[in-house]
Order: sequence, then C-alpha cells, then structure tokens
Amino acid sequence: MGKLAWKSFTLIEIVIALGVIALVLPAVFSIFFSILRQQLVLLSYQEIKYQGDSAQRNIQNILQNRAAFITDSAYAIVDCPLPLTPTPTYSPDLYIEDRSQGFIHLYPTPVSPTPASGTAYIIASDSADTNKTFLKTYDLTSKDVTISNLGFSCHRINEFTPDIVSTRYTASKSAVFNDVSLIYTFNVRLRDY
Amino acid sequence: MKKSFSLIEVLIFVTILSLFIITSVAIVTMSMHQNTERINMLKAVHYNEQLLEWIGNEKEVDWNAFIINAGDNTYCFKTDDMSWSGPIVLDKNNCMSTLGGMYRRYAVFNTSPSLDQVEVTVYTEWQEGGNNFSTKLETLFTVWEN
Repeated sequence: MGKLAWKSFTLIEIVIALGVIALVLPAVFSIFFSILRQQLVLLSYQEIKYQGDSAQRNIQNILQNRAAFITDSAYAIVDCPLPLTPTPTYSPDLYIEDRSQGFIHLYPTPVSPTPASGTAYIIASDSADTNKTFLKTYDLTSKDVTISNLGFSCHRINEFTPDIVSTRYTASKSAVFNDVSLIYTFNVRLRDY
Repeated sequence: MKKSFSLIEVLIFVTILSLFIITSVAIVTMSMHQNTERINMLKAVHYNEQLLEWIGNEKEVDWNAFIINAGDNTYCFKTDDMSWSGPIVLDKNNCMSTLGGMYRRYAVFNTSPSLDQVEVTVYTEWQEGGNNFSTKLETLFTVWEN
C-alpha cells in the first residue's frame, strides 16, 4: 500500500510568487485609483457646471426682474459710472433700487454652518424701506459646490441707456487630489432706466 | 516521480492569461481616454456658452456698435475676460491655444446690415493625443428680438 506523499512549495517558489504579487498588485491598484480619480473629477465638473449655470440664472433673474437702478451703499445716488469701454472693477457688494422703490443689497455671505470643505456663498437681499423690511437669501449652490470671488461691476454706455451689471464668480468643488473649477463671467442689462 | 505541466498546458495558460491582460488594459485605456474626452468636452462647451452669452449681451447693449464690431470678422477670445479689443484674426490658426491651457476659442461673424441680422458661430477647439476636437454653437441675432 502506497504512502500518500504531500508535496509542498519550496521557499524559492514562495519568494518568487510573493515577488510577482508585490509587483502586480501596486500596478493594478494604481490603475484602479487613477480611473476612480478621473471619474470623480468628471463628476465634479458636471456638478459645478450644473450648479454654476443655475447660479448664473438666479443672478440674472434677480437683476432682470427686480432691479431698476444701481445705487451707492446709502441707496442715495445713482452710482453707475459711464465708461464707454469699461474695464470692470469687481466689488463683492451691489446696491440696487428695485422697481417698487425698495432696496436690495447683493453680497456674498457664508452659509451657516460653514461647510468643512470651504466657504459657500449665498446672496442676501434686504430693504431700507421700513415698511418692507425683509431679508431674503438666495442659495446660489448647494454646500458641495463653492462660489468664490463673487464680484459685481456696473457701467453704462451713456446717461440715457440702462445700467449694465457685470458679474463674475468661480464655481469650484474639491475632488480627490484635485480642485476643479469653472469661471463664470456675464453681463446683465437692467430693463428700466 | 514528479508530475510537471506539459508544454501545451503551459502555452494554453499563457495564451488565456495574455488575452485577459490585453483585454483589461484595452478597457482601462479606453475608459481613461473617454473620461478625459468628456472632461475636456464639458469645459469646451462651457467656454462656448460663456462666449455666446457675452456676444448676446453685446448685441443687447448697442446693436449699431455690435454690427460694426462683428462685420464679417473672425475674433479670437483667448481669456475668460472677453472684449472686442482682442486681436482680429483673419486666419483662425493665428488664434493661439491659451484658454484653459489648451483651447482655441474663436467666433466667426457674418453680418447682413440690410437684413439687420448677424450670424454667429462660436468654436472651441483643442488637441488631445494627436487628435483634433471641436465644439461649435451657432445662432442668429436680429435687431428686434428680445
């Protein structure tokens, strides 16, 4: 009767096998994480494009539907300069007289609580008219997408033309190992003058 | 007596393994390539939309100045800050790829003063892996629309 003989791996075989695994595994994982990272960057771009466009439409709607004049911070004088070829100097604040003689202050303000990833921005408006005191906030984006460098500028072609508000901001999102962002710049011509 | 693998067994194993590895590498490469393409395309569409938005506003602000600037010209818009003061290029190849590090963005205008209309085509082009990519947006502006 034959005796069952167990054939085990030799040390050199195990060392070679481990060496091969040690070479292959990092390569496989690096490829896997590269794809994952790229996919996250793509998703982030899609998200900031969607929310950045949405923020643009929100600001355009506020300006086109409600604003009559751009004023100074005391809501006292019309304060839109008249350069023919303006070089915009962006300010984070925009003071507006609306169509019903109310006043709106557009400015970026951190949401509360501030998200850990950075500072998100919303636009708030208020009224200097005590009969119409209100504070309304417009969420430009969700907390995942950050609006930064929000700035407004104003100019007119001549004193008989409506105010033109230039707006600029950067929509960004933190992806793994990458910060992705898109810059938005657009002008809005106010309807009343 | 030691039983080892025959040559034919080893060849079959190596062939199957090779096919598996080649397929995997091809899928991975294609996936990464497509992701890069999508990211670049998304940015190019954004650049096109921003330019068309700006051109539309220029038309709203002052139609007469707009058609004078537009003419039948081709304008290169190299940066995020757009203006007519940028160089007018007769040949789109003069529009250097500076936007976003790799994009060439330009607008071709075709003005009909008698009809009070301007046909605009906005292009954003880029190169990637030796291939040329392009996105374009076309629109027609007339004096009366609002």
